[in-house]
Amino acid sequence: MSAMAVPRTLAEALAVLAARPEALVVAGGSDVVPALRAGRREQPAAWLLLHELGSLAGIAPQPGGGLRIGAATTVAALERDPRVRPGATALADAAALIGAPATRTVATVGGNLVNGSPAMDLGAPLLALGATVELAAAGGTRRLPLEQFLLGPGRVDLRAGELLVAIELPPAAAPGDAAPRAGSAYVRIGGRAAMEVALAGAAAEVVLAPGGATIAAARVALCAVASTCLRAPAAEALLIGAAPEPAVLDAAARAAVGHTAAIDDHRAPAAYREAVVEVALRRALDTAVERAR
Amino acid sequence: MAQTTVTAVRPRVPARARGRADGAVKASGRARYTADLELPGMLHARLLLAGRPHARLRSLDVGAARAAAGVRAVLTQVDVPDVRYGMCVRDRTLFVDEVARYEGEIVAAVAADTRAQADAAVGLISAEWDDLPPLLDSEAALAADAVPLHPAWRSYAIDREETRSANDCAHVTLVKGDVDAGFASAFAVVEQSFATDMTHPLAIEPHAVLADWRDGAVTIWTTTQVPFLARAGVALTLGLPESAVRVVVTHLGGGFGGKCDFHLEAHAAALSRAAGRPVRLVLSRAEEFVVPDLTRHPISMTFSTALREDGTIAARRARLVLDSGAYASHGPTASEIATLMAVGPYRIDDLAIEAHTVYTSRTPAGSTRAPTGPQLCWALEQHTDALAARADLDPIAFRLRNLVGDGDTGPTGQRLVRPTARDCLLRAEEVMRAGGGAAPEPGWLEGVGFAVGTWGNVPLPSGASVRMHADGSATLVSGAQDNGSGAAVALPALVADVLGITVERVALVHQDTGATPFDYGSLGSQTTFNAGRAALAAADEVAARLRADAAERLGCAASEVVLQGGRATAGEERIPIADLAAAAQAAGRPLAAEVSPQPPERPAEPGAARSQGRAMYSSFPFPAYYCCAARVAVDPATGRVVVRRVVACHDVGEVLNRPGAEGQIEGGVAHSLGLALSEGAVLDGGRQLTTRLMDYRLQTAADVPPIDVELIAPRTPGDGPRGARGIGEAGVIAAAGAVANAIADATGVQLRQLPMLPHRVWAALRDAEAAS
Amino acid sequence: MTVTLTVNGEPRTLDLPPQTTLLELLRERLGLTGAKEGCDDGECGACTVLLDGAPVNACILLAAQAGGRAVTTVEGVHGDGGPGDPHPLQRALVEHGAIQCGFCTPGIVMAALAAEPAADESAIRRALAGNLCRCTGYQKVVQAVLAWADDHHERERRGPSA
Repeated sequence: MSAMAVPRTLAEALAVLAARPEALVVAGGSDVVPALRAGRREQPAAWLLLHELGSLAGIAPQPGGGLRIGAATTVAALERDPRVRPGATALADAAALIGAPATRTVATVGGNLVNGSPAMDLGAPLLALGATVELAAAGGTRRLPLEQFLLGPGRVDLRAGELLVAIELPPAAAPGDAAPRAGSAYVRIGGRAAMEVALAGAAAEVVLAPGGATIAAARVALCAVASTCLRAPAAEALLIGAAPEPAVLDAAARAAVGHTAAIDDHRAPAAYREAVVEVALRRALDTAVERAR
Repeated sequence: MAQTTVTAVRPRVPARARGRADGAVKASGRARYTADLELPGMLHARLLLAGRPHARLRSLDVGAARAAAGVRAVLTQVDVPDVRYGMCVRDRTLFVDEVARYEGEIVAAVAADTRAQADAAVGLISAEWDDLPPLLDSEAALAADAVPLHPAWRSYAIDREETRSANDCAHVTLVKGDVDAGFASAFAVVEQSFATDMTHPLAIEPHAVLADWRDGAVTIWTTTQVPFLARAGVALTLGLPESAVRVVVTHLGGGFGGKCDFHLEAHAAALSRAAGRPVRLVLSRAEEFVVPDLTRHPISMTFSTALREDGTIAARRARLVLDSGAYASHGPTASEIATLMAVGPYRIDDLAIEAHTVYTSRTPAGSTRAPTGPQLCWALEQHTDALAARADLDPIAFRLRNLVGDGDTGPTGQRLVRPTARDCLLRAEEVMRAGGGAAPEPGWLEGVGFAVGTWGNVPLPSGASVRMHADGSATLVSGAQDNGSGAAVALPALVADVLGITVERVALVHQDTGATPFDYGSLGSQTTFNAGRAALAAADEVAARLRADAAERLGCAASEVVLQGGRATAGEERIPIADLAAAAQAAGRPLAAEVSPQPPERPAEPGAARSQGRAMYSSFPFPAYYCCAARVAVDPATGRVVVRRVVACHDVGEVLNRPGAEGQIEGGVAHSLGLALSEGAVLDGGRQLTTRLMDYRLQTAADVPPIDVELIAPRTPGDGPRGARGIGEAGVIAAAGAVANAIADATGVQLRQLPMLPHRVWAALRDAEAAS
Repeated sequence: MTVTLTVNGEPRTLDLPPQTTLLELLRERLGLTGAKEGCDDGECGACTVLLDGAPVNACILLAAQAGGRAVTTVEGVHGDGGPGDPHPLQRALVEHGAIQCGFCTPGIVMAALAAEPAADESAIRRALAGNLCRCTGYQKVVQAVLAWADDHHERERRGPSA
């Protein structure tokens, strides 16, 4: 009989993980349970279920701006929470696109990240929003930028005994700007209106300088075109300091493609992914700029 | 990405506000489907699959599995009679017999106390294989030097004249006139090729079988569309008389052709015999994709059509290659239909059409809803638009010039009586042009396309009995199988109408080979056409008895008696029908009739002898016509296609049940939109990669646009009961072609591969731009 | 693993292997076969039930995850007349011809009940996007849900006395 722990406190959860680092962590289970059912993942000897761990779910504004999102926060909460839509619009865009309502009831932001799929919908928006992940273990806590956490398909930088507890989003701001005009967006390319796995996706956050004539800060991230969701610094470099004009946005979207390493698979050929990720990013930039104005 | 804009669906008042008879039990969740059934002592069955496309079984050891905890039976081919079966060609066995020819072929079956124990035992079976080169390409498999997938093919029994060769299990032709002469005098010739991917019928209910063998006989509850054919299959493969096999279907969770054959019934029955306990087998969704044959045929098609200067079609050659997969299944019949679909609803005097039905190393194809219809219509109607362009006519005008009219003859010489193809096209165009809908989105291209077609109603035997009880209520016992469409559960309404009683007083006994007369089952849109005719004939006999008895009591002629409102009435005189029924029963002459009326005779086909390989579909007898119009928006940057609106216009003869007919067409259209845009199996080395519903993508409620169903007034009554025609299949045929033509209207580019996935549309637009 | 939960208002305590899904609990332990297994993968919606009022795919939720929660299945959905009396939504589905084979219907009932109360057609289509139906093309389903929702809101607007 395998052990199943349903902790109510983080300390309890970390103690379980310290004792049984091989335990299978189940947040919503919408990725991991189907994998178990289909035999893509072995039945675990120990389980750690997070659904009673109230402190791990929830969205809280940060002192000084930004949001702290508990790792067990559901996608439905991201979709609906009134603080996500204005402050982290790209994330709300992505949340509304994931699966169907029944998926979003249980799927969590932490589960989406830890699953490590290159096509995860929340990865690119969180990268574009500058997310940091908080990883706790019985021995202590560490933080790292999301781009360092995502290592490859199905691989994340989660050490034995560690639990992803929260994702922190910094306030969208340009240095020294007290009232930044920021906007973000996520655009996914797929063949159906719902229940779709991204063929490619792109997210952008844009902060306009006072007056709106130039882009003061920008982050750009891509989905389903490389072994992980990833930032596109070449695109960001073209945007920062430039005017939010079509030619600039075109050039940035084109430059982003230089960061891709798409593969052919049963969903789409690499050439298609690389072509449409540019389109997705171009559209995300347009919407982000529009939202920033 | 732009959101699909959805305009409001006009709510319609249902014609019959009460809804179908099994509606309430289904809405409440109380309806039991096969996988919901359980018997005391029931065991759980699991299967070992080959898991490789083509391999010789070197050794098979089930010893450890037989010894495992909870295991009650393990069976392989050596445990069942050495019998080959198959719908058109007897080319297969229940379990792998030396060679596995597709990944889903069943090697062994296990029955155990729990599903987990059965799973564990499957894992203990040791099978050693020598892999053989798989046949992955149907064209290569046709080559003279190709290795035959079935070395013993000559010894297999076949249901038609010999036209086969090694990997071509049926070479079917359709010949009319003098095609060489037709081409010799042509003003212009257009030649085009198209291809389609394999798709799946995909009922939401997976296959399930519960078998209970006791005292030399077996009762099998199963998810079949064809209970009597399933019974015959069990009897053949297990060496039983049909009288020892009873097949029962509770509610069937959809079929779409995927449950249109004998599948897993014998495996469960044999396990139950071996274990001495009831056994239930339920396929997982992943197994559902690879195990049961009856995928939709991938087809490669080349059409060459000769035009006259006046914009009429002179002649056509076509070559169709149907990829049948590892076994023939219904492939030869599908090839017959495909050759008819290659002609379409057009007047063409000179024809030479041929189809090959080719063995390859993958899950077999079969008679999926309107077999070959959507594939051929999609290709042919794009070809028809290309012909129109070559003739410098718009697609509507070109079709009006070439669609069949009264007195024209079909490909085998069948004389057509007042066909309604043009009526369907004109109505679809009118409704589509009149409709508004959302304004185009900036950057998206909009277009409208049309596809016209024909489909047959097959006359088949079907039996029914009607018994009236002493209180004037009645029971209809019908051979019909309801796949979910409602065609069978609607039969009591016909009987009630004839007997002059309310439908609530007519019980239906069906879907039980132990209780009902024979019927072919839910295939070929035949239930209303044939089972409806039988139910009416049986009811007519009982009604005639009622009228005769009433006439005697009332002292009038039987012809003066009207049965209505539970009474037999003649002028001012009336007798409750219950009184007549009670008197008949008391007199030992119960009011009952069992009939299996002769199917209507097929129209004469004086030219049929020129074509070869045909057994069932020499023509579309009693043809129905339809036209689908689609308006689409195409995002040229991503190749994404959004269907904005569909108009589906059908001639279903007289409408017996409007919501039911509409529902068949609406569901067919949505299925066809899936075939058009999102559904397609991707294979690698003979293995399907798309065995999850996230990858084999049906249209969702958010994808399907409003569908206008137009049922046009027939010009001739249908030849089915009360002038009706079948409608189960036609709805799925034309929408894919209409969408293709709408994409071409929007972009100027035709698509040559189905489904028209975003990356294919994108690549076609890119290639066209590069070429220009 | 011991799980205590409420199913259709009744408290239940069951001892289960840890990998048991909520769907297995409902169908195999409680005999509630209204929720169907169509894919065992969270992709078809035939097993949709409500967990504290929100829709979930019971096939990919561990039974343990429903511990302490209230589960509603189609067997718990009925009209004011109690079990056996159809819920107005169920009645609307039947009357609009929205049911064919019926295998997806229980899931559709649950997903529709969980939809936004003021949903328009487009919102209803999105709310049902996880419930695959091969038979109907969704049109009559959407019409039925719209008609029920309109009716429902009309009654709410008029208040309980109406």
